[in-house]
Amino acid sequence: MSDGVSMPRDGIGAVRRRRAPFSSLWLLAPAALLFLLAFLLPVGEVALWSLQGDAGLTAEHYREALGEGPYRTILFGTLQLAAGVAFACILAGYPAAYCLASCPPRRRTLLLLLILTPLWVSVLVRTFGWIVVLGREGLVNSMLIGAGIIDTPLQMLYSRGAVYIAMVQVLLPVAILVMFSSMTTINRSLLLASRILGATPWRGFLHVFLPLSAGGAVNAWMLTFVLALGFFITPALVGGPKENMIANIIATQITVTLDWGLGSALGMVLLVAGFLMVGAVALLFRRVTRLSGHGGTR
Amino acid sequence: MVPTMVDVNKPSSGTLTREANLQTRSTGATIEFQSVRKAYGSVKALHDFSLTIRPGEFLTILGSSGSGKTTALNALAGFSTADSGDIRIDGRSVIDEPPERRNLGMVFQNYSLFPHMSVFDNIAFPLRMRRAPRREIKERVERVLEIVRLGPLAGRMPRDLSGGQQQRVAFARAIVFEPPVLLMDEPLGALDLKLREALQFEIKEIQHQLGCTVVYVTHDQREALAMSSRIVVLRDGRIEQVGTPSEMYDAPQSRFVADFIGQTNLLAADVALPGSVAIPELGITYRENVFMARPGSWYASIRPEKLQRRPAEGPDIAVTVTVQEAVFLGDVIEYSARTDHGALIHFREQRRDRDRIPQRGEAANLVLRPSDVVLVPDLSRTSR
Repeated sequence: MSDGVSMPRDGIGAVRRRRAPFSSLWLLAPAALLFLLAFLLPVGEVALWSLQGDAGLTAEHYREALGEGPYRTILFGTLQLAAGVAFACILAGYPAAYCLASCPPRRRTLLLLLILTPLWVSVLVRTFGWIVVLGREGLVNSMLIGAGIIDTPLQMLYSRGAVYIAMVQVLLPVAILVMFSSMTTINRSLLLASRILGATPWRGFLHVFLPLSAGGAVNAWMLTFVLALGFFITPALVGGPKENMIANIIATQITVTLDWGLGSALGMVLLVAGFLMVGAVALLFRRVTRLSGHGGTR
Repeated sequence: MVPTMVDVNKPSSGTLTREANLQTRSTGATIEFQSVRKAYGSVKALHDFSLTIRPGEFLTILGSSGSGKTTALNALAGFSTADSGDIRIDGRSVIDEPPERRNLGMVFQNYSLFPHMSVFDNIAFPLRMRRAPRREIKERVERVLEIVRLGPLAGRMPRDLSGGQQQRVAFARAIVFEPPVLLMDEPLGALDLKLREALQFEIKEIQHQLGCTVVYVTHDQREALAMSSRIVVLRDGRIEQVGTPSEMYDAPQSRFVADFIGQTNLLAADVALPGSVAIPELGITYRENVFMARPGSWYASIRPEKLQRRPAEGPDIAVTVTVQEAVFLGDVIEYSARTDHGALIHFREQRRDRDRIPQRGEAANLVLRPSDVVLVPDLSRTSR
């Protein structure tokens, strides 16, 4: 065993075992190729642009992106907003996922369908929907005025609140699905066990179900956070110019002011900041997330 | 059986005990099922199930899958509500109580250990739910860990334990709060034979110490025979027979029980006059004086060990067979053989030194005592 050269007796078995991971690795090839061509290469390119000045390599773009000024404020605002939106998705999505995971199969299929339907409609259309709902002469305002609660329409559109609501609405199905799938791995007999051992339904949930499903919630937070970081259309349409997120600024740099260096630097900063946040969360909750996936099936 | 005892010094104050044994012996509770019915859609899982389980008894509900044994256990645990009837524990109706108010210990088929809790926390769970003081929790968990001999593993997580160890943790968790009733749902089903047999003894031993009433559900008749003080055989949601293991084995009351418990030869038997029994496939007719079966069609159940190769004496019945197969099992040899009338029968004998084992094709003269033939009703010809 220790010399690692010859393994006499079960030579055939050893060869097979050594070949197995190789052959299954090939299954990764298409995805890996796509990842390389559509992600790693462009990111490398962008990284180069972000370091290119008029005279060779420079850190000037990063100084502008990270230094005192509007860009840093917007970057922090974006991180904050994305974190908040992701958290709101967890809060709103957890009960829905719980309901899905605990209802009988036929009703579950129907509910899943209902939750998935919004995903068939493009983000653009859904965001326009919010303009119809929240606008000056939108549904909410006309209802409130009609009911005599207010006289003049409320300014709801083009605010941070509108961006929040619209982004949560767009990302909620994703959060629900991630949490739902982790909840389905929880062995239901654990809840019965908690009951017979003396736990009320609420304490059983608190001590058994919640810890076992928390990993799924953390995963859902990370995914929705990353997706929210890159939101572009929604803040532009329902947030207006003063609720710009970093993605909007980057787009402006690339398409309007044509400052590709700054745009690229902002992009790289966003990428790294996102990685750092997700990494920190993953590290912080590593004990919880390790549990998801084998939620007591043994 | 060791009689159950009440210990007056229950350490509710949490006094330290140095011995590994539980010092307290909770007395088992009486459990009464009263005409419990349960249907799932059009399938009647339990018909009019009535049964009284005595304090400290080890009662096994035995049946194949779909017999209603799990339904009965779930109704007792409170996991499902009976359609009608009542369940009483020590005279108190629990039918409307949620599981957590019934104070039952339970070991699940797949142990259902909480995967996010250590062995210690798993076992402490029922105590924490009962809001026991921290010190008492520690003492009790440590004591019970010693009983199941898992002391050094208290800090491990369930996934790092072997199947047998997980089973012990599940058992410890079910008894740590000294429940008057312990429910066990096929607790040994997932373990290999050797381990299963070892744990059977341990479970019995600990039950004697605790004195709790055990309701044990299994489909394994050998396990039922080995462990129970009484067995209930369920079939299609009805009780087929209730009795001690030896009653079930020696005096089955139906063809189903005779066949289900232990091995047996089931042969058609005709009773012409009261007391006169003919078993055509063995080519024998004999007089039976004890039970006086009514004239009609019956089945004769003859255990393999009751057919013996020895000289006939007194009222013995002689049967000549041709050996088909002899299977060597160490201490026992099992034979299959054909009678002159074409029936395939099995017989079994203890192996003695220097015995020659009859081989295939050889004739063997078997002897049978009339009292060893058990007649069971042939329900296929009467309406059920």
